[in-house]
Amino acid sequence: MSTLHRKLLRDIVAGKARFFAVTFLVFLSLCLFLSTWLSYRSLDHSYSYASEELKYNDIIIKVAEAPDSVVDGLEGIEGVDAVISRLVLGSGCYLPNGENIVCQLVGMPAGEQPPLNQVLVEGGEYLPAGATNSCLVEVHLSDYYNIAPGATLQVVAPEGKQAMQVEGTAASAEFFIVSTEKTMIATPRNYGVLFVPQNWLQQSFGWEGNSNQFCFRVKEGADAQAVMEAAEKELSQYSVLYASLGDDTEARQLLDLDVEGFREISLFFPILFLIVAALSLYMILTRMVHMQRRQIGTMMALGLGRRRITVHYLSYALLVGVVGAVAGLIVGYFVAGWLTHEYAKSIGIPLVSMVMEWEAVVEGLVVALAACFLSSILPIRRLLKLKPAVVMQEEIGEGKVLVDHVSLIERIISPLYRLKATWKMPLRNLSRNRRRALLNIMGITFAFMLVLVSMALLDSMDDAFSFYYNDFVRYDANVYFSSPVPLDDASGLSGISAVKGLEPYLMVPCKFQKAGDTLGEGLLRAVPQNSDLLGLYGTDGQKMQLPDQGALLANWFRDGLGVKVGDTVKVVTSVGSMDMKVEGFVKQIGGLAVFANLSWVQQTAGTDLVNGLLVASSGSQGDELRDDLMQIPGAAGVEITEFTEEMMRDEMMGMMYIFAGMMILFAVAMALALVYNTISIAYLEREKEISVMLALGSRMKLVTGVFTVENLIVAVIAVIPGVLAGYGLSVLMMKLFSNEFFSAPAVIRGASYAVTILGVLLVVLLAELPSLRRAGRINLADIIRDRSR
Amino acid sequence: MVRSDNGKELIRFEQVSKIYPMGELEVVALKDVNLVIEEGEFIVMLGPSGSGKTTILNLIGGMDTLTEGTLTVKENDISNLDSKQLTDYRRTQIGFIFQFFNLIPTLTALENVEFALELIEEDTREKSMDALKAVGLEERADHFPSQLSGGEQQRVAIARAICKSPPILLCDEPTGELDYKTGKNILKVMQVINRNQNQTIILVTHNSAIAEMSDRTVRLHSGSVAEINTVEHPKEAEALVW
Repeated sequence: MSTLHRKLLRDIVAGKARFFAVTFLVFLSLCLFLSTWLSYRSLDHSYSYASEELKYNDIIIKVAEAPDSVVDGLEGIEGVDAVISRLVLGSGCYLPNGENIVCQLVGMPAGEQPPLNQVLVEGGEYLPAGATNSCLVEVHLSDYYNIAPGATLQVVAPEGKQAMQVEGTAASAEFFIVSTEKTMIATPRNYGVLFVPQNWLQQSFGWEGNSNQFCFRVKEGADAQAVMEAAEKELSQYSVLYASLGDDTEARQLLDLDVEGFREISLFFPILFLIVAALSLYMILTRMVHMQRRQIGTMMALGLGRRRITVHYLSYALLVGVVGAVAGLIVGYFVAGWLTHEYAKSIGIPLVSMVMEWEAVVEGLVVALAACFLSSILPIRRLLKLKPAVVMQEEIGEGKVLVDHVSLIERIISPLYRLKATWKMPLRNLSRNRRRALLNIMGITFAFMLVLVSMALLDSMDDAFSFYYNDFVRYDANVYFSSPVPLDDASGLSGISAVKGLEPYLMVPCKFQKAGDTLGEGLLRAVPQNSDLLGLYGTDGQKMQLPDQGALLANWFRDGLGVKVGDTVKVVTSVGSMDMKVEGFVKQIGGLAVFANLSWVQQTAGTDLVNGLLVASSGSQGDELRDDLMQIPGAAGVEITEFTEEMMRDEMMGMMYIFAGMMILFAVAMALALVYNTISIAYLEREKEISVMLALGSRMKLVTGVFTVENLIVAVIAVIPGVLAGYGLSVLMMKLFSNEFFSAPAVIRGASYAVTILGVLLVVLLAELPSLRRAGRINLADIIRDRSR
Repeated sequence: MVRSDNGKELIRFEQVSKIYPMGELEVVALKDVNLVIEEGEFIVMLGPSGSGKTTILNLIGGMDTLTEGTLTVKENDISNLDSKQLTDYRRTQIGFIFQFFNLIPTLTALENVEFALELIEEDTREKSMDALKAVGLEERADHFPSQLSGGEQQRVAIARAICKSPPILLCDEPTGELDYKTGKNILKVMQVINRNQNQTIILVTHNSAIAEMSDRTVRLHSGSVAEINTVEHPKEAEALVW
């Protein structure tokens, strides 16, 4: 090992805490980058892998109702490799523990898996040949309620409850997250998928010989789009409600949105962290070079070339980069594995296939090293431009050092000039090195920004839920009928005890089109014009009422799809197609929904049917209310608002708390590492002054006070840009995360601002502790006599 | 015991040793030093590097603690003071003048003096200005250290040291960074202070010519007092030549 290498190692050991802090920032950046990037790529790949393994369809077409025999004609379309018909219906179900949930029944052939859209049996057996009252329970539901093979469920059919034996549990890439019912917020607590024998389903629900979905696999090299168009044409007489290529289904879109989120996180936050690491490194190297200028001058005088000196100091930065990046990449790889498996499990991707991208590893390493290189080359080059004698003799400043001016704030607020000399020091220290003061402020601004963004995520979600459950949902229960009933029947149910409000509705899945282009799929929600149980508000918070004719659309139509008031949107449903004039937009936190006057919709569609009731109870609540309402003839399921809200808050917000908590942890760790570096460097610069203060008889309390005031002033200055940047970033983040399935404005509550500000100030106080401890152990005599300080 | 007989005792070293552990080795900085310094004396300490001059200064200044022996100042044993007591001691009893001036760069000349006074009292402006006047720097009171010459900076340091009228002034190579003329001016200021305010001055230097203006010269060698000379007729600072 050369002498210079030994010097490098000893420099690192001498300032090991700062070395560790800045290396930790690089580590965090790379760990976050690789873990989220690989998860993004692996989830994407896993979905394709699972689709391939389970023979997932290339095309799916949903119709109102069509005979199974149509399959013969569809098989003749050029490019079609295989076609299946299946019946998928919504109903109610009583679980082994007596809980009632809404379920989706998916018809499957008994005895063997279908040629397309198979399931992965995770427990028990597939539906046996000739099975009737048997089912497979989708894993989300079986996991949530701990339903094992051998248990018995009761499915609500038109003729009454039917007992079903659980043959096994199964996963499918097709059914994660999405409730095709769309009439409710789907959670395992209140919604599940059951795979049942197709024949049993058709017979029990009056669909003998008919189905409502056709799934296609196209031949290798065939044009899937052309096949879909031909199939749509063939099925047009059966009211095509939905047609999609395999890559364009809702499940796939949701996954895409999720993995897109991972992709954004994998780039956005690591870049932010790397910038902060580079700033930190810049400050450390600047200070190190400044403090070692005599050594550098001596090295130059001894004939050491500028290149070798540059390499020597660059080695420090590159070592930070290599150690931080390699450790980050290794840990990031394992975190990616864990994250991918956990996430795949939570959303229901049955098969996971991890991807390793060496390109990403190399890119991460190169970017980290480049950031370290760029941040360190400037201070070294500045010094090496000088002559050795000058380097050794002069006090080489870092940036423009201003120590001969009264501070700006004293000039503006003249009484400050009359402060005690002790308290003028922190004010003037701020402007003594403007570049570093700016870097310090930027560092703490970053800390504010990151913590505030994390808080905004929580507040925005909480605000969205509060809006949904306090303002929009004003009913205590939502009753689903197993099949639509005439309006008069539904209205006649108000005799149920303790019900103070009852509003029938017609909610049907639909497709939205504008000028022939499909905008998306969602839900038509037709409710009484003067509904009290569904609160419709504009995005400005104003209450809105349904128009006589036309519709109010969810705000995503305007914000995400460019629909304007006065446009006409075609709503294609199983009860007919309707042209609706857009009369306004209502605030919605997720999903594409159109709200219209029930009477007008029924009149337009030529029907008097409704398929559910919104209920406000004046008496019983919870389980009791559900049991009461399940007595309503035809009721397939009851969603109790209180339960759904509780579950959503527990599970969804719980996940959000974990996610935001992790972000806050990262932000605080980063802030601590960064502020520690800036403060410890500021301390080193002042160490001699502090020694003089102590030598003159200042108590540590006074030194601590002066140092703390200086750091807190920097933090307070950083509050304004930090809060502004944090708010701006939160708005950007919520826009990035908004889509047709979820959209919420960025909200940051007063308490969050307060917690963030106090938290960052606390970080500042914590970060200065090591420096103050060092001041307490200072060797006054040595430092005072050391001219290089 | 090495002492003079013509005044009131201020500082007493009794068998004082200072040993610095350096890994497995021990470096003896002072060994069995016995010395008495009296009020109002102007002492110059001479000796080669490593002889223990600065160690003695640091021990008297409460910036370091001894290993063996006893050190009393005004009959108080300062050998066993804790860190807080040493701080109080430095604040009230000691005035420091350093080789590299060590002014606080963000404070003006006046504020540097005020800072030292603020540590012990409230009303500081007038006394600080008086101290600057005493060193002939009242015109430069609002200048920052970087706007002052080396000699001016050292005069501010002297003003800072004398403003609170400490009984002891410790000067560590006060002319080491100054040119001949400026150095003599500084010594003149110190001589005036010593005579007018009866403050005890202990000055460490490599420059043996300065010994001629002192009352006594203490010559150190290898951590021990090698020689103490009383100067019968101290020279005026202006008359010194080196």
